[in-house]
Amino acid sequence: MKAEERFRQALADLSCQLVQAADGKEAAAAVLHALRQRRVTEVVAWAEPWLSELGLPQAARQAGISWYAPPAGTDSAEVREAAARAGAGVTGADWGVAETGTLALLSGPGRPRMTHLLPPLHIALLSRTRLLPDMAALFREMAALARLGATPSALQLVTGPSRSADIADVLVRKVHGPGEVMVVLVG
Amino acid sequence: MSGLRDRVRAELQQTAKRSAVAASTRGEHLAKERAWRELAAEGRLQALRDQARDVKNQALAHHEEYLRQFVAQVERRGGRVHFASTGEAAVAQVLAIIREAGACRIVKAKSMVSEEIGLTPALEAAGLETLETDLGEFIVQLAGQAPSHITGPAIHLSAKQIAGIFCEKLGEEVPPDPEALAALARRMLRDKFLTADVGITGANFGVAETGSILLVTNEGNADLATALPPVMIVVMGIEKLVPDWAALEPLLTLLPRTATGQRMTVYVTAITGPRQPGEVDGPEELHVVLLDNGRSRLLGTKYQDVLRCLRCGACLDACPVFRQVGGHGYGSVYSGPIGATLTPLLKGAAADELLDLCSVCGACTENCPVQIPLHRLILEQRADRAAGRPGPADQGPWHTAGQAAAAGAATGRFSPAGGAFGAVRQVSLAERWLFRLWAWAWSDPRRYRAVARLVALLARPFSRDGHLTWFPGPLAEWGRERDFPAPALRPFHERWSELEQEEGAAHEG
Repeated sequence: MKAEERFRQALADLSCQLVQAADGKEAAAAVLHALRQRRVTEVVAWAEPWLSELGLPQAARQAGISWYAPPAGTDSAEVREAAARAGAGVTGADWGVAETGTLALLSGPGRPRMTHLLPPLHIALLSRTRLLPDMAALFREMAALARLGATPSALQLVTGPSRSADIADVLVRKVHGPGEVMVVLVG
Repeated sequence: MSGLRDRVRAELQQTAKRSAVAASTRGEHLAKERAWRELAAEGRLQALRDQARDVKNQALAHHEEYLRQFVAQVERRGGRVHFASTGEAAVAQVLAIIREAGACRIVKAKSMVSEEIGLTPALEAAGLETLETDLGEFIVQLAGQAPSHITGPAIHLSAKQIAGIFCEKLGEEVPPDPEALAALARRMLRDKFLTADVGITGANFGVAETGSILLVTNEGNADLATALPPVMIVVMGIEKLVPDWAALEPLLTLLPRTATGQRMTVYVTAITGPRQPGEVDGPEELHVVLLDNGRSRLLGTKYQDVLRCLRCGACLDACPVFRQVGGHGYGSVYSGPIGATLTPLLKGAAADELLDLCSVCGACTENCPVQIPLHRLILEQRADRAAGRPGPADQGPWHTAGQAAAAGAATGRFSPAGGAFGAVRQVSLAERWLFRLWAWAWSDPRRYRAVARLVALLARPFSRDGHLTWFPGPLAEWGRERDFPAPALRPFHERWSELEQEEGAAHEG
């Protein structure tokens, strides 16, 4: 099975929506559509140049959605307050793992960890070229970063929405993290 | 650890609790079976289990080296490492860090090692608001109970009971519906995450190569506890080290599948040092408290295999004893087969009655992702106990205490703390003679046959419909609940040799 097909299946098993986008323009449209559909009014996002280049912040603002992408060095309390209020968090993903439907996010300046943790909806944009077949491949990438001395302060692997079965063995979503994770596969 | 018998009796009378535990363990076991079947169908299961065993063995065999590397890497990234040879030392260390930070509000992610050292009660006693944030742990903390399962702390409670606990302790009326209960916990704890001064976690793995701490959760509580508070404290057992990132592949492939049947847990987070310049979250201060508490004494002994444990809980779900008595019956932090094996190894003779909570069926060993021979380690310890040989925890000062201290830290940070639990229990002379006699009779075919015939004759007056319903003397209690098949007057081996002769005669004829 092709990696992409496996990834799609794994995300379906996790009840995660996967949207395919041929290019950045389509990806931006998909994100905007999802935000509008859920009546999101506030978004917290990574401050990555490529995200702005997609024209997302402008398009969102035109649609009446506030787009907050705190640059490196922003006051922590300010980001926290905004992220706690936001209806969605928009991030990139450094890799996707096909076997498990996992998103790998590396922390860094302009990439607050709370972006994908505090809001009820997490939307991740993943480039098709960053799809890996399995965990072994992901850990090879991490080993390569380690050799370069470039291990980030946090690697966060996200596999579906936050969940728990701690009460009476019943599966519940949105326990502490988002109740919904959506992946936009670009390229 | 007295009162095992009373505790088990009391647990056996709690019908609702027992059926909740039975249903949950069965469900988890079946989920694990499905996930393992998927790996087996791909032809990967055994190879993964072998790799997982081998990387943990490698880490244990070169423990000193990896510990030194891990400590150096954590410190290079700006984290601080503290060594604690006992649980009390670790608690004192954590308290000192909290005091120095001037902190008063603490959020905790679920961690077995913090249960082991009694961290939360100690922090509460010191007047610090300390909240468990894993849903199950939050529930049992509110209820003032101990967690009853390594991965499912509240499996013994029904949704109705939990609604009752929330109503009583939080003053909120909630329907006994898991969705509503979880939503209330989310709301209560969200504010705590946002305002906490300190986040405390355990560690599922420590990567020596980069000094990274790995946390595996489903709810996202460990992620929030490590992203938001300015101070992060990790309490980690020294056996949690793995050499490098590559070693994680078999371990993280097996751990979620074995613990809950998931291909991957929702969140796996690797924290490497405090927040970097320009970052807005992650801890400003990172402390790693490395806990020994009896572990290094097991290195290089016949019990070393137990240190491979990933705390997945699969042996609990598979264990016929655990399914009956539940975690609370054990009266120890670690329950089930791993608890029965590990607790006496860490605590010594004071806990060795746990060795009796095992029928030696071997289901634990079969279900262990890292192939710890759990039931054999229980048998070994029973043999030690019967022979009056002290176990590792009762052998005086810690023989490897210097190892960790040598690993980049000031000497003496690990202090000797052995011999705290007194003498090993002796088996009575009569019992020893009985078993010696038994061994003598059973080790020779003629003697075995003679004894079998004698027993069959003696048992005859007491058998009814082919079953023994009454036993003499010390066997009376054992026999009260059991119908034992009466020994046959013509035992099977006699009939077998007759059959063989007949068969031979038939062929010749």
